[in-house]
Amino acid sequence: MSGFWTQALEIARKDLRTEVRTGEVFLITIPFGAVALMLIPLAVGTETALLRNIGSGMYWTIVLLFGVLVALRQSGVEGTTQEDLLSLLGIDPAARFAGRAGATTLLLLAFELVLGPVALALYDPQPKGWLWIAALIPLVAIGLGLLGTLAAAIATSIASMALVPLLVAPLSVPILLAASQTMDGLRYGNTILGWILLLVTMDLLLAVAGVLSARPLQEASR
Amino acid sequence: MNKTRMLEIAAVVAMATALILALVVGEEQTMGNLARVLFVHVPSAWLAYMAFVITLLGSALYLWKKDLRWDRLAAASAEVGVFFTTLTIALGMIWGRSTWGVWWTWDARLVLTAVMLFVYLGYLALRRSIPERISRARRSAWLGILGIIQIPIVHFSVLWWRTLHQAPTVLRPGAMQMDPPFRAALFAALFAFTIVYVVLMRRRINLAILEDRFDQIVAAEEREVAGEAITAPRYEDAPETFHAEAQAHGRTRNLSMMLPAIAAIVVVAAVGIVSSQATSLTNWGWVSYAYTVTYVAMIAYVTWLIWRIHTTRRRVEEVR
Repeated sequence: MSGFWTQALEIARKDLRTEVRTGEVFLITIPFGAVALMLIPLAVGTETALLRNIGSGMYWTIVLLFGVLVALRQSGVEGTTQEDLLSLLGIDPAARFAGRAGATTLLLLAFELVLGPVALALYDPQPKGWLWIAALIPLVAIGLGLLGTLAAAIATSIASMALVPLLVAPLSVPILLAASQTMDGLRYGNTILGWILLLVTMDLLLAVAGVLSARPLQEASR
Repeated sequence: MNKTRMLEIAAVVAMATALILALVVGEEQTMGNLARVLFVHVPSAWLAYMAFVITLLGSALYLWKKDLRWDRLAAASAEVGVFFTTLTIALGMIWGRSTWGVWWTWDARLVLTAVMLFVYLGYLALRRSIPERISRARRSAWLGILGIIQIPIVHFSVLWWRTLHQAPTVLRPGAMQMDPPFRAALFAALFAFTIVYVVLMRRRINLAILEDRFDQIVAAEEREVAGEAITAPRYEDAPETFHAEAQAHGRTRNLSMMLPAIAAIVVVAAVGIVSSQATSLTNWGWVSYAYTVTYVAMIAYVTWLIWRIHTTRRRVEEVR
């Protein structure tokens, strides 16, 4: 198999095919996220004004926390044997990272797109600036996908896999802030370019870190 | 007298000098005597930043040079950074209670500092979960580099959001907003805290060297030689001793992984419990309270490091 992008695409296809067969994200994680969105109002109160205020923030928090589950799922798919097989096939570690991050990003995007209408229906946050939101959703998915894939690669052993949520949640704070502040900015007419820029910078930094660290991390697991 | 002892004496003298300067400097216009908490709170925060920057440098240098000394530097600095971050939060809570009337508020600077603490607790937890030295060093190095994202966000949060926490007065764009006597006392405290940091780092790096030596001995003993066909040379009672020692060491390491978190919780709880009984403290009362927490925490951490070094050294000698 040759070519970086061909290899990355094949890895992504393999991960997505596994998802199609198991339906872990669509049948378990997404419904779980929807249940979480329903439970929050029961705990904090069901006043329309309150829910309208906290709606977008709750949506992004759920996306962040459940996004970790999506990242964990893809790292749980492959054991040492599969890893060794990919190495023997001569798959570039960076292409492997890109493929996995791509598949995770697509799954997260689907997660966001399904939960978005649920949040709209339950919280009625009355978002404004749909074009900006259309740009924001994939940027968040890319950031979380890259961060989750990177954290899963760092904590590759079973013993350290339980650490992934602890590694991802605090490091994803800039993404959460940028997403929720952009929504607030759109709602109240404040400038949002700074937050979008922060999100783009995070995505770029994580992509560079993921590609650069792929080979050393693979060597470290031998 | 060895270097470590000389540094420790220098740290005590510098801390005493910083304390005297902090107490003799005049009252601040707005906050009065309460402003003296600044001379322990701000250096703690700066040292936390510096510790995490050194973790970044150590991590990058390890990936470049592949020398475990840099990994030990990064790990030691992360642990010391966690200590200073916890101290910063505890002192901030005392200051917050005395000025804003609450122990905790959802202020951007407070929340993001707590998030930064969790990033580096995650770093320490990751290190403890990977037994193999090279794999641990490589993996944690990448996290050590990624973690630095938090520092500019924490520092500039007071400029980006409208927060209760005051804006930076020294590390800020433009001129410094502080009168010369306060500046002198602050820089004296910063100098003293930096020496304390160096002392803690020397101790922590010594501990890391001992832990690596122990792991090396145990790994060499457990390595298979030519499959199972040839028996590796062993001391007569080596297997039991080694396994027992390895298990005991594992327990100590597990304990030492939890201790920074437990210590943090204890410090915060102690601050909370004692302070809830002392809500009518005067400004001087709050100041002495903050300074007591600072000195007790430092002494407790040094003592804990010395105990860990002593225990690990004993184990190394026993298995050698």
